[in-house]
Amino acid sequence: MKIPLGQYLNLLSRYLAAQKPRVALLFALLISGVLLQVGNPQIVRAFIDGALDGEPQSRLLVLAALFILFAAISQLLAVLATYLSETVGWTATNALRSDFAEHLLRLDMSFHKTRTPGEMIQRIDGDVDGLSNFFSQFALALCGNLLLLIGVLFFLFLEDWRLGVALGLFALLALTVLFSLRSFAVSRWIALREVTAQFYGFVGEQLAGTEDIRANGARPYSMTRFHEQLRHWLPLSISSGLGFAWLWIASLSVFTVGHTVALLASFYLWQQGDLSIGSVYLVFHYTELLRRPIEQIREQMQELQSASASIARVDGLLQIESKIRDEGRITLPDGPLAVEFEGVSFGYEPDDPVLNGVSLSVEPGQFLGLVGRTGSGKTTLGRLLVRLYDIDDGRLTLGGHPLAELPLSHLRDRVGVVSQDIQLLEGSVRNNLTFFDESIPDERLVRALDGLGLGGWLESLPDGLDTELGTNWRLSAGEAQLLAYARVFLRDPGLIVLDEATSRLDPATQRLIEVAVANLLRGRTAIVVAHRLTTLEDADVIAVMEDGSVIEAGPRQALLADQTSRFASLYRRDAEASLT
Amino acid sequence: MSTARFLLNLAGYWRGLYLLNCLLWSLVYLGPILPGLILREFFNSLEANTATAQTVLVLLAMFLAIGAGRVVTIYTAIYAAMLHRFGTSGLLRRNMFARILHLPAARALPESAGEVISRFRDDGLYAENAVDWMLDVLGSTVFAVVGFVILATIDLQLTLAVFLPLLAIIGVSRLVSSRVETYRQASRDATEGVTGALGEIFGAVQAIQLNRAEERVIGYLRGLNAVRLRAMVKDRVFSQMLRAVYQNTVSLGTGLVLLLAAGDLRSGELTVGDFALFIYYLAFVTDFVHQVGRFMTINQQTGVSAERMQRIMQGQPPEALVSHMPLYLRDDFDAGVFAEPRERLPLQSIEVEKLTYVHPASSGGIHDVSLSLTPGTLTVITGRIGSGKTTLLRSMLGLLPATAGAVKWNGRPIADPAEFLVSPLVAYVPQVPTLFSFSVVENILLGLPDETELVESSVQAAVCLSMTSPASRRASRLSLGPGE
Repeated sequence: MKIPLGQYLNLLSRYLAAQKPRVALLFALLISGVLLQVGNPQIVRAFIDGALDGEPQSRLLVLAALFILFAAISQLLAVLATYLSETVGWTATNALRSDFAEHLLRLDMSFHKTRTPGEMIQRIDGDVDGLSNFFSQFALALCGNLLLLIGVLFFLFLEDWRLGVALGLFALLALTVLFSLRSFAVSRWIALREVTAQFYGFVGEQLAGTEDIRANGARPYSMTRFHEQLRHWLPLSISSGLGFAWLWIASLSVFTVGHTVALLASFYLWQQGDLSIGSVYLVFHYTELLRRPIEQIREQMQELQSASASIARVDGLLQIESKIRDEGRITLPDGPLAVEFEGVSFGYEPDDPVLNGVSLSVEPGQFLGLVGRTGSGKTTLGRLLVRLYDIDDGRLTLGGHPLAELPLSHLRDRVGVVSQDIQLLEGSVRNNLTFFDESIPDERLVRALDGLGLGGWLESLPDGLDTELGTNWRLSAGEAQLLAYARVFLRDPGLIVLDEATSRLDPATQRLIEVAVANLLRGRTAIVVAHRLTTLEDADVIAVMEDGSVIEAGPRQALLADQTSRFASLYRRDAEASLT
Repeated sequence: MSTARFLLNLAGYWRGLYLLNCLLWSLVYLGPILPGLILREFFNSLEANTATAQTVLVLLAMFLAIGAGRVVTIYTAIYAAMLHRFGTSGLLRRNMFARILHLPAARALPESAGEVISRFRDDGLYAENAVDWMLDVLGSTVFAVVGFVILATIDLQLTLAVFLPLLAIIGVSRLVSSRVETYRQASRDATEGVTGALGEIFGAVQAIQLNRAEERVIGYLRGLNAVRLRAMVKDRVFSQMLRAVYQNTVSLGTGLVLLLAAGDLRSGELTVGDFALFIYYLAFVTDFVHQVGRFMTINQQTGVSAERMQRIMQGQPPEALVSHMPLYLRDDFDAGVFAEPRERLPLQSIEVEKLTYVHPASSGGIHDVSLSLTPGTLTVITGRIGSGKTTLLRSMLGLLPATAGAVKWNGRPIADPAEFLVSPLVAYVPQVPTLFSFSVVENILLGLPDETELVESSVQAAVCLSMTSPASRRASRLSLGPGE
């Protein structure tokens, strides 16, 4: 697999640009560290030769003290460098995490419907974690180690040009061998990350579904699937470990050869009388010192491999663009809005149409009731109106304008949707109503809740609007439904889509809601998807859907009066059902 | 359970494999012993002026042969280590998963799903690393002992000067160990904050988009990120400081060798070969000090992780987290091992007696509810929002742990309703049914034997949905009706 260098440089400059001073300081620290490391063996050589030549003890002691001082300073620099590089790395990856999360969050629902939250955690946090070292150390460590390499070779040249050439060639060979192995394990890494993301996606779903699992006696099944996941994972985990083994082995082999060459060469030069024993030791020490930069370059390559895997995946996701283009410029007037479906066709999958040429029109301020069997496409109509998906064919207008001509944010401001599945955040009631919009004053929230008959409920909460929802305070499905109404109340839209909004409420709450909904719909256009036809008592017009088409539409009274209409027969059946 | 017990328990999983690992990794770490001795011979022969091309070539050939042997050992050792690593974290994850499926289902997670996943992922990995790290500690200890003996025979005084600093370092790391734990805990918590928030955000994408809250939500995430940055940097810098202390002490050791060897080297009591051997081994002794020091740090951090995983085990003794359960990693694995015997006692009556459950965070719940059901009747439970209808059902079924009262089946109290009141005795459809990323058929069967015709007819009876619809990766594609 090819390493996408261009992408790396792009990411580097994009996320490190804001931290130039820190990066520069870090670089200065690295160079000082390199100088200290190259200097130390020189001290040892002077020490050996000095001792063998019978130099005074005091001079040897000075050399020993100098050695200790150098070592201490380089450790101090290492701590400082860690502080800087961790700060740089986390600042950069945090920025990437936020940008990445934002990008994904803005993708349309056709992306999200196939992903679990657990998988997204693994992508955004896990994969970006894989990049952490890449940001904090990669470029700097690479430069630092190259400098060290060059420094060592320079001193070897000073010693004897033949040594410089021999070990220079060796370093080149070592780098070539290790470099050629650099992408060896990338595909293994990608496969491993893929399977772990799948695993955590699976676990996340199972955790969310404990009630269904237990109540259906499906624990054996869950356990079976769990172990199946482990079985898929094992071979990939081992093969990625062996990829690492190959790198280690290559490095060990190369350095065994390197030491042999160095010892052989210095033995020859010693025989010629060109090297002292201290210098032979220096050569050996420098060869050993070459190990550090070459191994670290190898390690960085390894990091690069894991980063490549992460980058490839991050980049792949960053390349996905929302299918919903936000290019509109027209704004709609306040007040109720007209809706017009003209021959609208749509499918979640290309060859699996859900709507076939739906035509429907709703006048401003009208109340349209949608009825039809599960799967007939009613919910889909609501999703199209807020552009969670775009229509495939036909024309869909709001206030006379095709939806694509309206800015997305404006559209979603003017159309309020209460969907079937109410999504709550773990957090305070306030945040669940405002979604972190701090400009909304509490009084407005209280008023909205009051309007829904939730005033009493709000008072019963231990911390009022600050009550944390989630593991400690779970809302019943009915309460969640009411909260979702309040969200819409707050936004004052011109069109409201209520999707099977009444299907899960108990009769007492149902009555409460009916009053509130009547208030909410007043002065607005409304499309209500309902199972129970009593919800549609106030509807102006009714549309009956079947298999993605409107098979009957008209004023409610007219349809009721016509004994042969589908709606009338549904109505009769519903009335019978509620009597028994 | 102490961290040491926790780690030993994990190491003991697949014991034979771990012992093999111990052997292999000792060999891997012993690798540099022989090259060091060869090096000593080399320098000694230079100093004594006895070196001939022939002796040098023999020495270097041995040097190469030993390198080849090490290559084989390392490859085998890594294979064995990867296998055992997988077993270690796999076991922890398996035990946590199984426990969650045994807890009252409506209260199975002590934290948000995102946080629980972070424990499966990260804390599992930390424990795996720690068990693996013990091999490194063992290996480097074996090296240090053998190295000590060899060096001591050359010069005992000098050897002690090399090894004594180690004691100082171990002392230092004990002194600061409590702070390691504090910093690690803080950085783990901050990480959980971020993963938890991501889980929440991507579990509510539609609501966020419809409320145009994308930017505000990301702003919230940025705040959590900043907290994590501070915690992480503190954690890492502190670890690096400890590492610097270890390495410094070793450099100090080298300096001491230089100081003490000066006289001996001059007088010829110590040869250049001996000196080279000291310095050569010292580099690997650095490893030993580093490994032991790191291990103490890791030990602390593992304690934190073990404790966090233990919290998922809610109510189980600490041994349960590491109890040695099979992982069924072979292909010929039989799913039958998970089958649970189901009692089939035809229903005559269900009595609910003074059933009580109070939500821990609120005073809400049900108090002393009694009712009786007879076969063939339909009972409606109704009431206002928050009056406890769902709580009653969940408590009856054991999906919530009743604090008082009993449920009786045919007059006999049910010891564990969650185990007993399942399909086929009871069928339950929760308020919000969850679908899994399996095929539609698998979602319906959830492990029942696949009798396609039966499925077809049940589905036909329930919703008239054609089974030809392709498998959906997530529930949102099916409208909620079929989920129920």
